[in-house]
Amino acid sequence: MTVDLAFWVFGLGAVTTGWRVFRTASMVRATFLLLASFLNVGAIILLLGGAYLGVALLFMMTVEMAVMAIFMVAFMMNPAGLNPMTMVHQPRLAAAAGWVAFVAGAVMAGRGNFPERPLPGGRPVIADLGAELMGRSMLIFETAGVALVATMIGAVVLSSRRSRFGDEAGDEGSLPPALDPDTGSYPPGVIPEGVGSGHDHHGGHG
Amino acid sequence: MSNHADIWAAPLLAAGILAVGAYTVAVIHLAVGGWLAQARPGVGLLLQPARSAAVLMAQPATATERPDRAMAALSPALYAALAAVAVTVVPWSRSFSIADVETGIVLWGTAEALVIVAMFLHGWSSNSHQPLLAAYRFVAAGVSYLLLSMFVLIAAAIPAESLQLSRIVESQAGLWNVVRQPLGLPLFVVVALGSATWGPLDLADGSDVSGGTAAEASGIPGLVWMWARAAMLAAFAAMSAAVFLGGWHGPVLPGPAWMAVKTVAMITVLSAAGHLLARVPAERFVTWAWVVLLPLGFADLAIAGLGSLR
Amino acid sequence: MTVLRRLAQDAPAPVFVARGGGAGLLPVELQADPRLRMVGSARHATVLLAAGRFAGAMGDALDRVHDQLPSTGAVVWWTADPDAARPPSLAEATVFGGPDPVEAVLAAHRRAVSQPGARRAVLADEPPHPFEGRGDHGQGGEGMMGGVPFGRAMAMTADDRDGLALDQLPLQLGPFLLGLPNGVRVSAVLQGGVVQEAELEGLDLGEGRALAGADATGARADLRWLAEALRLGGLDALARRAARLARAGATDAAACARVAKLVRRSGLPAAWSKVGVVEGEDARSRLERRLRFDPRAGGRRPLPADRIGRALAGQDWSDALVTIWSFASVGERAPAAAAP
Repeated sequence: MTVDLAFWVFGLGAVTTGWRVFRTASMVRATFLLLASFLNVGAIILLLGGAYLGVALLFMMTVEMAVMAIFMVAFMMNPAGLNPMTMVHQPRLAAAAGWVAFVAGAVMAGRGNFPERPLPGGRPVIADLGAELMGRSMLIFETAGVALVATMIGAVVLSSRRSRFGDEAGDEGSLPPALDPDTGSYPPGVIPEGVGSGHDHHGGHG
Repeated sequence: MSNHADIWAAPLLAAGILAVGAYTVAVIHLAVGGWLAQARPGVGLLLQPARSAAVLMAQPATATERPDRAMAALSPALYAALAAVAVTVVPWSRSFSIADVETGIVLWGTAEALVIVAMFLHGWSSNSHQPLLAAYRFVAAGVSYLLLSMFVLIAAAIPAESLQLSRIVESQAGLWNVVRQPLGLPLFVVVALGSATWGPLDLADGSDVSGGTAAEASGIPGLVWMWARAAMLAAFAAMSAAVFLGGWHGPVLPGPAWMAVKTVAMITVLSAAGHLLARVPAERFVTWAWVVLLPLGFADLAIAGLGSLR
Repeated sequence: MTVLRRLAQDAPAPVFVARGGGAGLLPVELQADPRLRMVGSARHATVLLAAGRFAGAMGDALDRVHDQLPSTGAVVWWTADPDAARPPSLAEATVFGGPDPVEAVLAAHRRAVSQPGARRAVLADEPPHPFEGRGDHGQGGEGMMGGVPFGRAMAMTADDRDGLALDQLPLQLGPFLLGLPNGVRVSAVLQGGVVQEAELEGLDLGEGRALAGADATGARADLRWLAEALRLGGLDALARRAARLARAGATDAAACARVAKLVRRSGLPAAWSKVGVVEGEDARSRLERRLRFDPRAGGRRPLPADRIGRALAGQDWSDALVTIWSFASVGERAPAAAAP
């Protein structure tokens, strides 16, 4: 009974916060509403008996959303939504796709034939998970882990201005795009004055 | 295994433990500071945190221009709640902890991660520059020490073969983790100082940004924030006592008394670090965390792994 | 409620100190008294202690800080010149002319806590950039970016040292900020926490009598400077110890040497190394020079404002404050080379 009540609370919480993500003008609030939605889903996984997976989901989503909030504030020109701005792209297409997905999911949930095979309580869930990770699935997880680390390090090296050739070398051979696309790019070897000062252009100012 | 507290009593117990813990942190911090400043604190020291709290309660809460009101109200409450969630997994005796969950270590890590969110929200919500700057640099440092904390805690879980805190304490019956994993406790102290923004890692509430995320907080919201920081430090002290200093193991006194003694000892260590070490600049700390501390965390994990192979 | 009021009256009074003309670094010594607690933000204070002369731009800045003080707070004006021009924020302040204002500050704190009559703000409560809705030519509120924002300016991006394009924030901080010498205001353009360009401006500190004891030389001046440097580095207890030694006249050389040893062991010189390199000397070497408490060390050079402004570019904000404070001269800042 308590579990059912908790499920409904977390389920409604996840859907409501997910909906609010699109109705708020503040990007930081949108990020943390998304986090709240994920936290509710993590709680539902805990209710399903996934002790480790649920808590790990909570952990990882928190760090991801914190980093996303930082990037929102760094790169968006209006992160708090204090200036009115349309916050959504292609709203009609997105709404149509959302309705299609909802109907499909509802049909599957309502008409699907789910098996009734409750597992006995008291299973050592975490030990089982550990045995799986370190046993049959070790190759998959180790490969994925190493690939992720390599990607992270590679991304940092490539995006840093120092690049992998040392200071200043990251700029070698690269030209900024031409300011006016009608006049075309600069001739080879010509670096125009004022490279790197992005004070003027950038979006929609009359 | 262990007795869990009744679910309705759990929040009250956690709040009670943290109220005592936060007050202890405040008193010890004042005592160590007074000794270092060579001022004569006197008996009035014991009531001084209550007096400073009364000053804050008498102040009105100030409002900035166009703040994010929901986040401003939520963030001190969230931070305090995280300290409460964190302290629920700490075992106080062989048979008692508020919530001895199977994934105790990972739940603690989740609370630590959400601290970053709470700090950022606190700095963001007042729509002011100094708090936002402080929150920003704190997130950079926070993401850096978070991995470190997980390595150190998992290394402590290896001899116990379980993520459950009570098993981890029981595995220290013969030898404390501070002896067989010497790198663990110093690295965990770094994480504790960061999560409570204390002393050398006071990047979120630092004096060089006019008080950081708390710069625009006064009155009751300011008081709740200060209390939550002290409570978080107390929770970390209790956790390090349980995971590294043998928890409730000890000769003559009962289990909870030993936990209290060890927690107070850790609070003193953390407080001394706060008074004796200058704030580390954010960029240097991030570099240092990834280049020095994280490899040390790997080494700690390797030592624990090798130890368990025997 | 009365229990709370009585508890609050005996608490260490949180004070925000604003140093004006003729005050030097004398107010720094007040933190030696355990009955006071210096805070870095006026919002945490119950008493605003304005020391010295505040006229013109300094008066305007003081008005702003006065309005940040919570409405129950009190203002104390510590001056040797009670008939000088007062800014509106000091119109109803308690005037104190003696050498040691601690009792006056404590009395103001007790009043602020026990009789919470709301203090009126000096400046009008109006937003600096009110949003004006939709303009006549369609500005504001349409389409993806809302056209040209009508009212509040939006941040514009610019390249930073890593080649990313981050928003730039122009900011003006000071003159009462921890880490800035008396009367210095910083106008900086920041990207995240990094200073892109900065300019130091010296506000007019006026002419008149200085507070008694404001001028200090030798070890006492070094200790006052060190107390603020320690507060900037987060070492409040050591700062109070340095202030105590300064207040006692800085005669005990052994005690000064012990403080210097504690400072060196705290990691503050390491945090200051390679910061603010001007003419081959970084902030750490300037700190080490002061830690020797050498009375024969030559007169301090006045703050070369434009040199320091250039040295701040590319530094983290906290490193920038360290750079500025490492140059602070011990007495009144000489306005040489200060371009308004």
